[in-house]
Amino acid sequence: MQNDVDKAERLSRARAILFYLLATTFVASGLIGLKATHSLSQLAGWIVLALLIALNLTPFPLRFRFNRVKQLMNDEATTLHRQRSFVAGFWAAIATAVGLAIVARSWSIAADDVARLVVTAALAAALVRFATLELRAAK
Amino acid sequence: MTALANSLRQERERLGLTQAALAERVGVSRKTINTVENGIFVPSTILAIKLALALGRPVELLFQLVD
Repeated sequence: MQNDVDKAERLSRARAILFYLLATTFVASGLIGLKATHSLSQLAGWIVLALLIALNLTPFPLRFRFNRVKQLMNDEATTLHRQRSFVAGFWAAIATAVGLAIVARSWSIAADDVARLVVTAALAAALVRFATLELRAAK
Repeated sequence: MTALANSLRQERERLGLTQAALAERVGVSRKTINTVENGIFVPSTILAIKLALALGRPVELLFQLVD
């Protein structure tokens, strides 16, 4: 029978793999959606998805669950991984914004496409960084 | 630059504990124990003291500053 440490490890690994999948899906949907005209409901859907992903990168979803497995999934090492993933997301956003500022001198880019690309880069980088650190730490 | 070395792995193995068993005793995940042992993660003071208590060793013997 699995104890809490084993359960937390299995769930943390599943979370890391889910974050890789989320990053891939989010980047793909961000790139597919470029240059397209979006209805208000499509835009709202994308914003909700982005906020849910951002929320999942914080310990907030686990904060109000007081069982021990959830606490083990959000211990000191995981907190450090979250912090490092935020740093990765920050630099990805800066790099994307700077890149787009240069590209925009030659091609016109809609403001909503710029916002999508910056948010997509930031969240995807943070998700991948977090998942990589978690899987590497578990080896 | 000063770094923090530790003898966590040796002390854990001396007691015949697995990483998971030590994690269970201290109340952290196995990956936290693994990253501390490998020097990737510097634990908080609270965790360092918990580890020392769980292994029955003074904290300053478990963790040492190295230049």
